[in-house]
Amino acid sequence: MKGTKRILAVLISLVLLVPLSAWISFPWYAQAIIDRALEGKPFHVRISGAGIPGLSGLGFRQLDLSFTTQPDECTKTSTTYRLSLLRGHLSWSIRNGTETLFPRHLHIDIRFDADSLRLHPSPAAFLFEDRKPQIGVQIDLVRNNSAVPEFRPISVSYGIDSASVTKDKLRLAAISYDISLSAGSNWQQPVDTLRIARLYSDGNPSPVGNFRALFGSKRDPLKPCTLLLSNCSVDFFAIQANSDAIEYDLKDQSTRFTLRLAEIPLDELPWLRSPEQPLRAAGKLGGSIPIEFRDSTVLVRNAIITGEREARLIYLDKSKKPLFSLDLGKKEDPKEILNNLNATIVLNSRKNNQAGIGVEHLSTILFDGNIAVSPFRFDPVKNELSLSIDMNGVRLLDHLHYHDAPEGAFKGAISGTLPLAYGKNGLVPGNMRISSTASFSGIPLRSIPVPGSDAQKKPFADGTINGTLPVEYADATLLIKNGTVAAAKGSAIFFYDKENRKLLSVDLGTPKSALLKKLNASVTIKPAAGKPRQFVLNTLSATALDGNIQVSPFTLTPGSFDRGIPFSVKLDNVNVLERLRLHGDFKASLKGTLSGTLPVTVHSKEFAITNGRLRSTGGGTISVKPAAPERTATERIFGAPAQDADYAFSAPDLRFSRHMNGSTDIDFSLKELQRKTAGGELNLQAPGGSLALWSDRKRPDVVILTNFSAGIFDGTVEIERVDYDMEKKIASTTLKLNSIPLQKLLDLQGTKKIYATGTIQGSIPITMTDQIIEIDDGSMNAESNGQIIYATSPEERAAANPGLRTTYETLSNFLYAELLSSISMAPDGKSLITIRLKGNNPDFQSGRPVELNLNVEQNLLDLMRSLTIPSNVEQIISEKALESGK
Amino acid sequence: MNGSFVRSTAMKTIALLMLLVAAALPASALELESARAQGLAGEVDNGLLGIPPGAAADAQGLITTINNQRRAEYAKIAAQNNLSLDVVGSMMFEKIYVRLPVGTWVQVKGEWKKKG
Repeated sequence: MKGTKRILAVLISLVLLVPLSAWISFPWYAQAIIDRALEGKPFHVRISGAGIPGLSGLGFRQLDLSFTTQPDECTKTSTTYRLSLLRGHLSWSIRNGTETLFPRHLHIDIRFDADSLRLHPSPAAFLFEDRKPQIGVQIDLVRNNSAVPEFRPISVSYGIDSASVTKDKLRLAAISYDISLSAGSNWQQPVDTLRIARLYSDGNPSPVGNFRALFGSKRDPLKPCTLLLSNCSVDFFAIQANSDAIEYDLKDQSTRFTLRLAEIPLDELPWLRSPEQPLRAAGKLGGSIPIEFRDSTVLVRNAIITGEREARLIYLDKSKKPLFSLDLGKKEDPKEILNNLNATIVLNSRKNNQAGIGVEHLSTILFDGNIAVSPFRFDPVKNELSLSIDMNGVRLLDHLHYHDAPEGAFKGAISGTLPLAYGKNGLVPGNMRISSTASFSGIPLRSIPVPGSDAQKKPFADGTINGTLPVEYADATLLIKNGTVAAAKGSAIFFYDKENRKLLSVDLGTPKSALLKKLNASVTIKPAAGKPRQFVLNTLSATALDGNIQVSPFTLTPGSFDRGIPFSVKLDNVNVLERLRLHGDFKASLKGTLSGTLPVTVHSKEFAITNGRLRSTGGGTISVKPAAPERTATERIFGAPAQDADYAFSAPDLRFSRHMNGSTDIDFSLKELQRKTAGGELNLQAPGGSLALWSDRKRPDVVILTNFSAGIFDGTVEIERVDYDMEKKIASTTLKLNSIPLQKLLDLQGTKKIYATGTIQGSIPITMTDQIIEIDDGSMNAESNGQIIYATSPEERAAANPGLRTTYETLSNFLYAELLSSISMAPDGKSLITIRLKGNNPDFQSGRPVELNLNVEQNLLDLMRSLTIPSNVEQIISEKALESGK
Repeated sequence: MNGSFVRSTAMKTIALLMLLVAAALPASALELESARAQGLAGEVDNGLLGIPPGAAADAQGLITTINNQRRAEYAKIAAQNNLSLDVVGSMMFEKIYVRLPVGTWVQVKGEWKKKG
């Protein structure tokens, strides 16, 4: 009995120990169980680090599932996939399908949880990784009559979230997709949304992301080897592109789709958003881009990009105002910007192990011309690319608009090479070589910026210009070769007085021929790293109005306008005088060419001219016709003569300097100057002097004339200095007369009976107030002795009284040794001239000494106004009691 | 009084004047002839004397004196005949020119030359 108890105890112990041992030793034979269970199956499971199982779960260190696909009609090679779960836990729950103690049918829900999941195909194409995967598997365990139960898989579900796929240096990140396979759906993956949030290249984010597409495993019977993704979209920079379908061909492992671009806002493109860049954009782009993706190579074939909703690129000036814009599309009529766009783009090129996007071929038709881009790579690490664009006949200028000239137009095709670099400094053009024959029309002259014109409230110029500029740009040098510029009829530049009234204009209208011909220019743009660019004008010359204009070289830098930009403009026989128009009370009728040099220094808002010189062999007439009230015929005949005067001059020669503060010094000389009024003429030979304008800020209206001299009546007149106030019209000075022939003064008086020899010098203080002249105690004296003859007929002498007869006799041949006179004239013209003569008549009374004193009272203004009035000097001589024979 | 009458009267007066000048001023006349012969004085087409080009001013005093005399006489004739001094002087030059020896300096329309 005792032995029986022992045996029974041992048996009970064995019954308890065997399962316990089996439970404890499960990790050592678990693999054997799996191998046996999966014997003959097309996949293998290897478990390592398995723990001691619980009632509903089992931990493991790694679980590998490998399976091999066999070649078929779509894939020529077999691929082995190895799926690894690391540090996972397998849990199950079993439900009794028949509610009996030994059920024939068990339903097992298996769930895999792991720290990570990796799927690695061989040969290696990619690596799929997921963190914290949760995979659910449903299996039915059916016990038939055979001893070994049958496993029947029911479904597999795997919600992918934040997974990644790595292929070479390309990584698709944040992938989400729900895998849901079941026996009921014949193990076909139903359509679900595949999302790929980000794309990295060599660890760096790329501008491509947020890819979405619908994908299911059911294939089109007509395309059994094609995987189809539908309703696809992807973001590229700020652009969202769509495609109805992406087809992946399992046979040739290629992807095909047509990317549709619609309503892409140009102003959100990254290289058009930098506040440092002067380039902006507006409107929207659209397009259709057929793409084929194969072996990391993207092929674009015959793509089209259209500009929509007034799409345009805008180039801003320094004040951020639009300067030029390039129209890319109209509001209602989308325009093809690019067509026949073909490209070969390699993603993550392995050839030279460079990361990023390599563009091996890119060509298109742009604005009716051909564009071909050199192979280039986009390096997302450095965010840099450099490329070279070859252009041929690109009619870019046809789409160019100058904002200050909305009615103007440009035309022309551009050809050449444009290297571009994109990086930290934005889009930077390299050493481009381009050429174009640019033509322009209807460009308003008033839109051309002119230093110093800000002060003017009126336009600097009016009218429009058009022309042709053959342009070449190479080695940072812009050349204009043989350009022409014409100005439309009525075009003119204006100069204003301080009250912004038109003072002078130059008519530029050239309806028959060009204003500028043979326009040649050379400008070098010197790029300097970290320094502002320099613009160096090497040459600028043109044939202008039958003459030549040449501008000396100068350099322009951003600070140049503060320091001043010095250059000179040389004119050679420019036929411009006939184009000068005077306004207001003035009218000009001039002819002749202008030559000279203008050394100019231009500041931002002012300019200076230092020792400029302009001269002409021509001349003409400037007429002054002050506005005057309408007068009756009686007033015109008997009233004061009109102030109208014509000033005719020839051969002007001006040397002048204009200072930054506006003060201007002019040294002038003329061959002759004739003042012609209704009353008569005044001729000045070789007048010359110096004028100072705006020299005194406190007296801006004062013009100072100094060192004036001119020939008059074969003598000279000089003015040392006169300050003329143009506003008040007042001036005061002294006229110095020298070597004036006495006979000329008598001729001026209109005398017919008095003849004289000898010359006069004088000093005549005059005061002018509003064109009314006053003379206070001027003097005119003979420079040497001479002769005065008052010729009378025998009848006159016979009729004269004895005293007067004596005077007549004395003056019949009076040789004076001294002639002194004084002259005063009141503002109304009433004047008193006193003359004292000393001398003798050799033919009378044995030539005894005679002294004569004459007082002449007359209205000198009337006399000057009308040289035709009969002289009253003879009358005065006749009537005056003469003292003689003292 | 028409123009031809005036001119005719003036010419007669001038002829008379020539005689008077020759008779009344023998010394001046002799000096003048000498000065003209030496090229120190020449006749100008306004009826007055001038200094030929390149000549010394030795005869300036003589020339001034004679010119004063001539001018006074011309003025008388001009007044008598209502002519200007220049017209009388021009007519006088025509008469003087005829009597000038060959080789004497004369100035016609501003240009000096020797009588041929």
